[in-house]
Amino acid sequence: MRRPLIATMLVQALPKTKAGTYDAQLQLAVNRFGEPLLDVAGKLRMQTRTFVERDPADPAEPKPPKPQTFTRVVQEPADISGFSSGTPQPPRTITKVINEPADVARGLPLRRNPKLATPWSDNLATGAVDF
Amino acid sequence: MTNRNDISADLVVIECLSRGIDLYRLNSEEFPIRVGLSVNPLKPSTAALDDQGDAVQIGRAGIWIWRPEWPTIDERVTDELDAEFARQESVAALGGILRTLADRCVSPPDAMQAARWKLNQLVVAHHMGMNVPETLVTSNQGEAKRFADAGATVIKAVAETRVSLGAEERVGFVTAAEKDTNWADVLVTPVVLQRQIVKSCDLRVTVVGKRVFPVRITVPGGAPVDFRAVDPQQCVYTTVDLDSGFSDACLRFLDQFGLKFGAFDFAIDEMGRSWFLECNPAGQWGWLEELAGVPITATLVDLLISLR
Repeated sequence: MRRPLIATMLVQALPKTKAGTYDAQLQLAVNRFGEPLLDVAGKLRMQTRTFVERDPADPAEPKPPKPQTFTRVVQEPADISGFSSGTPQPPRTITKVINEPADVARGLPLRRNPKLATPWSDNLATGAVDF
Repeated sequence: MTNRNDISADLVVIECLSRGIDLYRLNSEEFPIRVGLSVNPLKPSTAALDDQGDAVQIGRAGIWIWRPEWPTIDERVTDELDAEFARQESVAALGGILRTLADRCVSPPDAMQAARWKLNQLVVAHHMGMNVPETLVTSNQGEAKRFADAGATVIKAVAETRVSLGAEERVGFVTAAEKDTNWADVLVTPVVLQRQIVKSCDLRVTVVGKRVFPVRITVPGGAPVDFRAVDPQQCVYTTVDLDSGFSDACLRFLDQFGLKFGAFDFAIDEMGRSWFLECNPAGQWGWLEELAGVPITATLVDLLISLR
């Protein structure tokens, strides 16, 4: 079988650029909890949560009562300027209710998965090819 | 203007949301089936998108074009030629609007188009005083072999090392020519052959507007020629300073094409000389931001809002 020389460089299938699903309101990919995949710096967080690791062998300490939920306001209308002055616009305030604040796995800052944003994707680079 | 799956676009959206900046993300594959448009070409500032009844005035916005995808045509258009006609008209309308708004674009579409051509990039880089490795583009078997026999050679794609057909996509990297390379294969399609630089490290220079972010990338011993083939976590990333002449050359290179964003790749040889490899008008930066701490997203957003 004859192949172009350059084809010998094609070493692997292109990985998916990212996981998650697209949230049209947030305009972002979100995980299964509806949280932005790439909120690595916690930029969208309005609250800081801290967690203390405990030895499971230690006796349980009395815990303060926890709220069942808390509300995170991602964006407020007063902060918006620009695009559509004088024209109708959908409400831009996005309110997200996050349950189980004691869930450590969800409380830790979301880590950007380096496999999601690697230099591999430079191969997609030309951009605007037909626009 | 991007696509739903682009992770770099996510970074920009998050930055805008965190700073309270109004942003509309046009995923071009949602056009025109979900998002419409209208504009009087003589009054480009009137350009507007229609997102299911909501107007988005793009004529007064800063615009960032980042890997748009093909428009999606209503599946009820069953005639294939009708659908193709609709697709090409959609591209022409959206692409036309972007051209009337070129001065509002981070990098205008025609500038990005012009910068696609890697061979011309080498010429421009040379004119800017950058070192360019000896290069041959050929589909001639004898010429290819002679070039490779004269010194260590790498094989590169003329455009990009990526191809897709249907659901299958493959990607590759720059590779070194070997003794058993079958040079007859260049008869099928031309390749770029380039003299291999004995690298001490790679240098990625990301330029956003007038800001320059140089990062030295050191790969582990025995790594492949192309640093992109190495797990980013195994590389060492160091921010470095460039002399003003180097930075100016990068800025002038982008000016030559009309770009305001570019990701340059240089090889640094054992003498410390830099060698231009390519400039990507839509190069990734997310991993550099995380591993080298360079604030590229924030700078890009600064640039974007300055274009409003």
